[in-house]
Amino acid sequence: MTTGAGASCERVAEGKGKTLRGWMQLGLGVAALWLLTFVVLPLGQRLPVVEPVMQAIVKADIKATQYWYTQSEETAYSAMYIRHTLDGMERRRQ
Amino acid sequence: MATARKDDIVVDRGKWEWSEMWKKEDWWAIWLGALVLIVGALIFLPRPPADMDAKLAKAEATMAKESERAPFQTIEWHQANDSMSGLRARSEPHGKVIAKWLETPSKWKDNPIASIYMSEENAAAKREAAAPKFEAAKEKTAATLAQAKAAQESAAAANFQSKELNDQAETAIGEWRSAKSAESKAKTAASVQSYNRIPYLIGLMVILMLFFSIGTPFMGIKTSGFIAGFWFVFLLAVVSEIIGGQATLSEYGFGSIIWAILGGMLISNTVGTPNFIKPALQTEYFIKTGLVLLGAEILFSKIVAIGIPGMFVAWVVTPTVLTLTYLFGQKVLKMESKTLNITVSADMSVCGVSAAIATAAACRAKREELTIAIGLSMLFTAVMMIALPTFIVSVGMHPVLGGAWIGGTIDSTGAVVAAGAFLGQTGMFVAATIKMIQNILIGVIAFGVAVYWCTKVDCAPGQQVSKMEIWYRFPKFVLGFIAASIVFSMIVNVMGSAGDVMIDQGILRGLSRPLREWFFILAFASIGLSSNFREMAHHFKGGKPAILYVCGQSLNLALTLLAAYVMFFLVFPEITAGLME
Repeated sequence: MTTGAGASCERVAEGKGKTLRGWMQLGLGVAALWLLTFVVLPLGQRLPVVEPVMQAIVKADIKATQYWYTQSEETAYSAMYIRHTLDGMERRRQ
Repeated sequence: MATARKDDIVVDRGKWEWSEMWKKEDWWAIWLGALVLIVGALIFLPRPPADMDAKLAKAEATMAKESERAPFQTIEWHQANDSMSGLRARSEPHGKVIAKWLETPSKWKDNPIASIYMSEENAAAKREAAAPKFEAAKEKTAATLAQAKAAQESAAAANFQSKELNDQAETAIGEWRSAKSAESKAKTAASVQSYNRIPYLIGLMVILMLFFSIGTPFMGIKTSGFIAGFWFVFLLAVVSEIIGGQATLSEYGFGSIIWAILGGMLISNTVGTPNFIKPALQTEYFIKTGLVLLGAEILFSKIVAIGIPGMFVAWVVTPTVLTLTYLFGQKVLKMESKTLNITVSADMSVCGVSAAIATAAACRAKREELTIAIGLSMLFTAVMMIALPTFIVSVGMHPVLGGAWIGGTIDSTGAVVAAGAFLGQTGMFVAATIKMIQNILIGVIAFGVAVYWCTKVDCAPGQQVSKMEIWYRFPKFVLGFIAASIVFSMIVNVMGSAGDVMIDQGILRGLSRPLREWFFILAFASIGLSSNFREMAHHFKGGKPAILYVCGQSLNLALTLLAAYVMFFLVFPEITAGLME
């Protein structure tokens, strides 16, 4: 059995241990992100299957992270180009 | 009346009270969204680009004349098309000022500081390094243009009756277009300017803090607490934007949203989210306001952009896949959570992150469920962005078919454009346009899901729900979302070509979209900071969401390919031929 003061000391020590563990886990998380960004994914880009697509993305300077059409300049241009192309086709047919 | 369940989802029940219109976040999302759109209209509509109408009329007349003159797109046709797409209300001085304030951190490779600060010395070094490439690109454009002109003149001399000369002219014009595109990219690299985003980011933080504070006292949120914690949520949002801007991550399509969620979760599950931040974690408030703005971007005139084949691929196959995937989740996988089932089904079949956000909000999915749906979408999008174009090219598939397949199946727009670019210009144009048409579908999907949940899911078996009960339960922000879509679609329709310049390339892309992006990233930072891994693991039990995604995506791939082939090659082959000109 522990005394009241002893239990309190244990709780403080336990709290400190928990905080330290939390910060260590956070550090590990950040390290994992660093590893992914600067080691794993760049290595993946060199795989023969991945490399050509990645080169096309870099060459065309495409932002592959856009999740909605208004974020993409290419979408606006593509839609206008296709609309005008189909309009022209219709005109020629008439 | 609103009651809060222990999982923090607000459920409407009971009777309608007018005070809801200033006490609930759904209505505040509508008011704030409307405020942004009205301010945008007041800024952009009175200030069109100089001689806009005359320039549009001239470009349209040139394109009409050239279409009648030649059986292919002539140099003059392309120049007129370029002049039309170059007309943008957001490129005017007031648009540039707004862009400077709302801009997210830039792309970087090795040094994250470069995303928010670049000295004049560094910018000058970059300009100098890029200058020779730009000069070479300019020379190549001039040379290819001269060749294209010569080839076109030869074809014109034969009255455009010689197939051989027409083909030669088309090829030469295509080379000029490629050179021009490369020159434009080289020009961007050669005109890098120094920047310091820090003051603008601080200013933006204050603006957004005050903007969202307006509604807090009415909704029972302690305003001082919200303000005290907001800076941290904004800081996490900025850090996520910086991480998402890293070149390698960006090339894989792992954008800021996933880093906001992961970053927040990392903090909340390790050192813990500090208590002072908690009043600022207003996920629903941020997300619903963003969704009202997203509604304005759902312009129904866009669905006819590629004619009936595009509409069929996007608007018939997608809802079919969505419904079948949802039923598969319920009947075969027996997924416990219907909200997780529909959110994953929608994000897989419609358009990834944006569809997941809209559907999750419409059916009131838990934040962990939205996180799972987005995580799955990002992971599989990265895989498909590489695998699908590689397969298409290796089997020698037609670029229109390949583009339509990519546009209808890969989740996010950026990944669709990236995968489409691997097929060449036509493939990319088709892929991007199909994706845009599919994006528009989320207005209908979100509305349908909200109605279905009110009338069928959120009630006891066999219970008949009255019209008033549906109204009580209906997530009201969806009304703002739909109203914004209808109003802006009508305005764009009435304005014709000027609508593209003033609305799409003005109010929407110039103000509403960048603000919406900030609202969503704040929402995802809030989600991360208030989520825990255990809850997430519970929802992921048995890997059912991943199985659902894979099975649904397999069906999507098969049906989209079949529909695209039937529409572009059997029913409307002339459209395919026209797109290849």
